Amino acid sequence: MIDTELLERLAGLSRLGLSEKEQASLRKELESILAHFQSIQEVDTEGVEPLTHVLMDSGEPAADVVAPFDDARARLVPLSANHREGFFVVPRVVEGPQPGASADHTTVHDADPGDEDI
Amino acid sequence: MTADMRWRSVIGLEVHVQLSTASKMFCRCEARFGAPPNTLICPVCTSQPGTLPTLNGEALRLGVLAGLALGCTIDPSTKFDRKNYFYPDLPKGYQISQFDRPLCRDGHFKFSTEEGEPREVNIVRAHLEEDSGKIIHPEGVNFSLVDLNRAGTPLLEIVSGPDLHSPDEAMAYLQELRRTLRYAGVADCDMEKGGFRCDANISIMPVDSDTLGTRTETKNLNSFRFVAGALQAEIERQAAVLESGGTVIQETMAYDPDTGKTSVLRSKEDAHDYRYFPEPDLPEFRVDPAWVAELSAGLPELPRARQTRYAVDLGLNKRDADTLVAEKELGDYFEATLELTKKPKETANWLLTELLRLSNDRKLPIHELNTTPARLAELVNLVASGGVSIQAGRLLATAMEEQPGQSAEQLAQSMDLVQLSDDGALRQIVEQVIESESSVVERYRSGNVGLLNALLGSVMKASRGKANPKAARQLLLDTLDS
Amino acid sequence: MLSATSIAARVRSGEFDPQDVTEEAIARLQERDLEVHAYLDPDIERARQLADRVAETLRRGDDPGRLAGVPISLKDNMAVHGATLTAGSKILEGYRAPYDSFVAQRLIAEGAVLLGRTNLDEFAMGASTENSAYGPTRNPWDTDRVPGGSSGGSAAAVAAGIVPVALGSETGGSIRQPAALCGITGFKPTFGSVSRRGLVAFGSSLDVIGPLAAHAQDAALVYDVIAGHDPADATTWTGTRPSATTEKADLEGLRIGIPEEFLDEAVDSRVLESVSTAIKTLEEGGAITKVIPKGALPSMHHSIPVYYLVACSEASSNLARFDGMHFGPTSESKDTLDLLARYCATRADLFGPEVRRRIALGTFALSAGYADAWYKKSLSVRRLILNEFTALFGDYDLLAGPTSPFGAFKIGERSQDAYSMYLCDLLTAPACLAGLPSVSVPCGLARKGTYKGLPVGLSLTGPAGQDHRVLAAARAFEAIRGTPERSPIHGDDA
Repeated sequence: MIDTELLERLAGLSRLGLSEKEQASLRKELESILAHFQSIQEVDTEGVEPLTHVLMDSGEPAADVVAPFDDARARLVPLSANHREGFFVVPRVVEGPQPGASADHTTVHDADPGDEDI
Repeated sequence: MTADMRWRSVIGLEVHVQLSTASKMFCRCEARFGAPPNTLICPVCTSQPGTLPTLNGEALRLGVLAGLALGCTIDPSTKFDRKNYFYPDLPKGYQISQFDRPLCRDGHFKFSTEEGEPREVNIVRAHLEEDSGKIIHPEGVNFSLVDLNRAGTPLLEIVSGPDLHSPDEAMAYLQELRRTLRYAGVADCDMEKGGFRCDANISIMPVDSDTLGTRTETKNLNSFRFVAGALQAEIERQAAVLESGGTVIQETMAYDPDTGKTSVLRSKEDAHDYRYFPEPDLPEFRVDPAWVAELSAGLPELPRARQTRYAVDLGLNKRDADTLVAEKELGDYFEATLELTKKPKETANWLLTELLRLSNDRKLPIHELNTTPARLAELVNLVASGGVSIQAGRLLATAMEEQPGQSAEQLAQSMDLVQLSDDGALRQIVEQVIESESSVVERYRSGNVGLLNALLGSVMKASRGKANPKAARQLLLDTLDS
Repeated sequence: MLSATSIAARVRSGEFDPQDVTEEAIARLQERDLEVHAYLDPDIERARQLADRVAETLRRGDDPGRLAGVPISLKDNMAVHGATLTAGSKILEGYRAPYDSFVAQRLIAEGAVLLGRTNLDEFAMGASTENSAYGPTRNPWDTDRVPGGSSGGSAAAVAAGIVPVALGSETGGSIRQPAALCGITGFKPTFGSVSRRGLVAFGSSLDVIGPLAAHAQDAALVYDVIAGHDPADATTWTGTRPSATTEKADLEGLRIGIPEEFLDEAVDSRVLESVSTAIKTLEEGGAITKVIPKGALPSMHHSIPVYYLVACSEASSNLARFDGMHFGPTSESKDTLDLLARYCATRADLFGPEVRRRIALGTFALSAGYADAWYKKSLSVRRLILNEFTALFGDYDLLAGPTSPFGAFKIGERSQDAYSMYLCDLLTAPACLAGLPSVSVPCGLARKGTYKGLPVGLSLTGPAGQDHRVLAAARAFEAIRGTPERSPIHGDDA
């Protein structure tokens, strides 16, 4: 059911960073689990709407009123292991999104964070 | 022969528009451009463990309004889905978006080409989603910086059908779309602030064929200039590929405005598997048809309708109608003034000349000038009634802007710009001229009627330009013929 | 140990000093936790500060609230502003929550003294608390055995008599199963009765917070405090929740069905024996009980696959935020200059094996080409399960059965085979999938067999929104049966 290639794809999609050995054992485990789960394929669900929420009401949107989180930068940015001058620091992002990442991003070039009033 | 003559291009656009809400889509952080980095963030939009989204009702309202302006169907309920992928500007590791039940679908949107040819595109869907943060690449270092101020601000993604057939058409569609959304009060569509961003799907086929070619997607076109350049470049690239016997591959392209060329960003093998599934943290939301009807009724007149009305009903020339409609504020200003003057052409003229000049000189948007529509109407009416000349009116316009406490008439008086139209003063001047120019009068009376203009000139001169030429002419005729 | 109800009453009346009550609880924690390892962080300073606050409120002559001075421990997957929040994972080591969960706010507002952060299976994924990255918790009845899980720390803390009540969270059985294995009451409210704001998400459409308590009355009291609509959790339902504390505890005339599907062949015979005795107790209280022949809940048979597919799909997305970029530690083991390497190193090094297994399973179930056959299919079967329950509640007020197919098993006994651990949820997952309120009450100790002398839990499940009736039935049951047996570590201290 799950071949090496599929497992590699899954590990890549979920950024699990598995070694070859780990991939091999995880593949076997998933195979075994899915074999137990195979029984649901026999259930007749023709015309049965998938149940995504067991909710008692429909949603009530919130009012568009700004409620700032006080001192946000000082309280939140330092929770990250890598930060400087009020920014989160991440490994150099290659121009353009990488495979597996979306493309709906704007990048700003050559900004000098040193100019920011921090 | 250019590529456009041998190939027919098929273009569909996906436009991301930032909705004009005060707070973000799923938390109540302020949604604002230009704040210091990471100051408009909270536990929700930084994806702290245990946080949950709450839908901004205004984003929903604006999304519905946009859909109505684009002629879309709005279903009686809507839901959200998660789009899963990793990227440092997406702290949750997924984007809350809408997958199989967009807020708006199946719209029809009309626009005109530069040449005035009417066109229509299908709006396949328009859905709500949250924006990502911003990544900054400082020079000379091996890291990037992330600012999450923008993360979670509301976007509407508007997907057109593959109904556009040239870069020019695509541009005309985008202009009309932008102006329509601004009119509807849905979005500023400020491209410089990333409020209006475009991805383009492009394919080409031989002009005599009706089989669609393989399409590519060109990402992140963040100005009108880039859109035009990227579409042209990609059409030419595809044409060159096909003409050299190659095949176009379905892949994602990036446009480099410096070189004016498109290049491959990633191939189809890297195609995403976003693993969309219903957002379990948000229930379905009712979109009450009665509420939608109410919003529809409250939708302002949209630019295309307004333009047609100006040109057809008000008889303005196309250029003036275009200019007045380009920005909603200008059109609204025009409407308010027109209400008080009932003189469309004169009102348009004064607005588009003097008021725009004042606006430029003072570097103020037109609705922030001292000259309100009511004051402009005073001026238009004063000129139209012959109270002042057109030349005097121009001087008066500047004066009115500088002295907002004074009415047009008061200023005309104090600046001695009032035209002589009434019998008394004007008759006196006319009689003086007839007396002093007796030889000319004699020649006129003996049949040289062309000399009336010479006499009129003398009257104008004697009045130091203040005589109302029309009244003066009539008075001259009356006096000479009596 | 006194019940939360009587501690609160005596603190409010001035008979007890909240600071003394707190110090006694701290002393019990420091002594007994050496044996059970129920706590990841005792967080004693916070408890003392909260006790001081209650004392100050009393000095001012104000009412400190319904939980005045009651020491309550929270599972370490609920945010308390400034406190650790590990979720049992290395990937949150050292992280401190920048905000309060809804339940923490409610408890503090009612005068509760939050004492410590309890151990759990990493990200609440497990049924034994062995999956904690910080070592397993031990069952106070037998420290060679597991307390169940994933709220094993909370269950053990109560069973050891450290605190009268603790909060746990349940996605597929994580409150009721450890409650059963530790001989205490555990209540899983209706989905959406209690806000999830501040609960580290596992399976968002299933996750619920609820109390674990030595006495059913205390579970009801804490439920009353934490239940309610929260505008910040769009999945909490609006409207008031009737009080579970004041609801009449009476079994008279209650129609209680026992679906034969709950008496599955996988259920240990001595567990069944205890449950049969408990059903007689229900009858003594006036309940009309009836075994419902097999066939009423035909889809329940698929609960394990459906539950794991749904929960893991959601988890694969919920756990994407743990990538070392915006909060929490990051692995330095690989080339951290590369984005992809950083993601992978952090998630490979800091997630445990069960978490990775479930992320992979969920990613599979949602991935292109498989989502229809696995994710969507499981959701359709989930609806069938809900429909079957709904039909049964036309004829019955409550459904009864064993909470867990077996008693507390040995540490290591099931941890080698993932699927055998998954079977722990056999009888609890159905109510989770249907979002129903369900309580596990202690119903004595197994008399013989593998689990001899170990606690057995009786499960009572009601229709959605009837949380107060389910808890009232638990109170009535306990009233008839008498105070539950206490673990050796708890002993007979008052």
